[in-house]
Amino acid sequence: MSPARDSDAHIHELVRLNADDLLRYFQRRLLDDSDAAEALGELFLTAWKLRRRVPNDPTEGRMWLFAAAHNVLRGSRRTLARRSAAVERLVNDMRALAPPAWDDTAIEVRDALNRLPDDDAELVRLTYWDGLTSHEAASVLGINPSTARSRLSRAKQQLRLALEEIECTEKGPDDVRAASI
Amino acid sequence: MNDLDLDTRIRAAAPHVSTQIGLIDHGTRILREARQRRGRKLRIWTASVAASVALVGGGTVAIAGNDLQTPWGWTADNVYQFPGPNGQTCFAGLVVKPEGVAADAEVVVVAREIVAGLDLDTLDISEAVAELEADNDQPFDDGGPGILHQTPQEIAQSAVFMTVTNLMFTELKDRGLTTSGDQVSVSLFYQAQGCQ
Repeated sequence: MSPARDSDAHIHELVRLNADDLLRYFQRRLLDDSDAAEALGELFLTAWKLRRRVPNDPTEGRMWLFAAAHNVLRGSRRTLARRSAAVERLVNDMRALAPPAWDDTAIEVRDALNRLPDDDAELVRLTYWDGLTSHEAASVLGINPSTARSRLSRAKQQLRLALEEIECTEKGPDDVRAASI
Repeated sequence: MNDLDLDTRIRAAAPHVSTQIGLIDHGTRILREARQRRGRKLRIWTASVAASVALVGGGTVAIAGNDLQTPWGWTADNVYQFPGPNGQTCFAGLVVKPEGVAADAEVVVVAREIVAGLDLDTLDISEAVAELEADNDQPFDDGGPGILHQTPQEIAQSAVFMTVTNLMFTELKDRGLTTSGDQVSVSLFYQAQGCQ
């Protein structure tokens, strides 16, 4: 098989294996499904365009896709997706789906996450929402694994404090006093 | 709150999402469309750019003789000009050339008629401009190092050429005058001056 055909087949296989996880990645971070679908389309087309740079190893290729997804989220342009009839079809299909369920009981955690520095919050999401190891999350964010572990630990501590503060506020001043006796 | 409680709460905060839409089919369709688009562009550019010469140079071009006579000594099937950078005039000539067929073959004659019949001053090049602008300042499509950068003049110039090439091959196809696959019978030769 020629290198070009090789890279074509490799991208198809990577997309087949990771499409669901990548769509979920976008859905968990964007407000509506059609926006998530468009971002996914942009990602696929970007991956196609840069297919010769995609690592051959399936795990590294998967991390490359997540890193590219991270970049798609950070960029506001969706120039490739907006010129694609196939992406438009995906967007239309996604519009027909029920919107993502936002559990109100988890709103404090998401608010606390949003108050963290962007990269720290993304590290937490990649680890806890997308199920990546800290090593994989580090690869997506372009930082070394030991930095990722220390940042994750710091971010969790900040989340813990933020959530405990909310709990104290909800219990009221008497409860707070009681808790401090 | 202990570590386990915190981990559980963070995990539970992920929005519940559904992906029951045949995503693999959609992904395949998107990639197939990208490949076909690339194939189409490749055919067009292989047919034309391979034979084209882009002269980089300044100065105003003196056009001798009739309107289709180029300063390079050949007669164009169509020409266009517009203001270039630094007060120059960007001038370009386009001529259809046979590729492995006789000069008077029907496909060549019809291609010349198509190109000659276009009013290049009023040609709608917006789609090609949008495509080129989208690719501008982006990594090279073949994964090569660096980025592709084109000036607005270069984009306008390339957009005219792309649009004419596209129209020519589309029209030939509609008239049943092209063969399938990558084989082409005509190319569009292009030469320009004062555009860069």
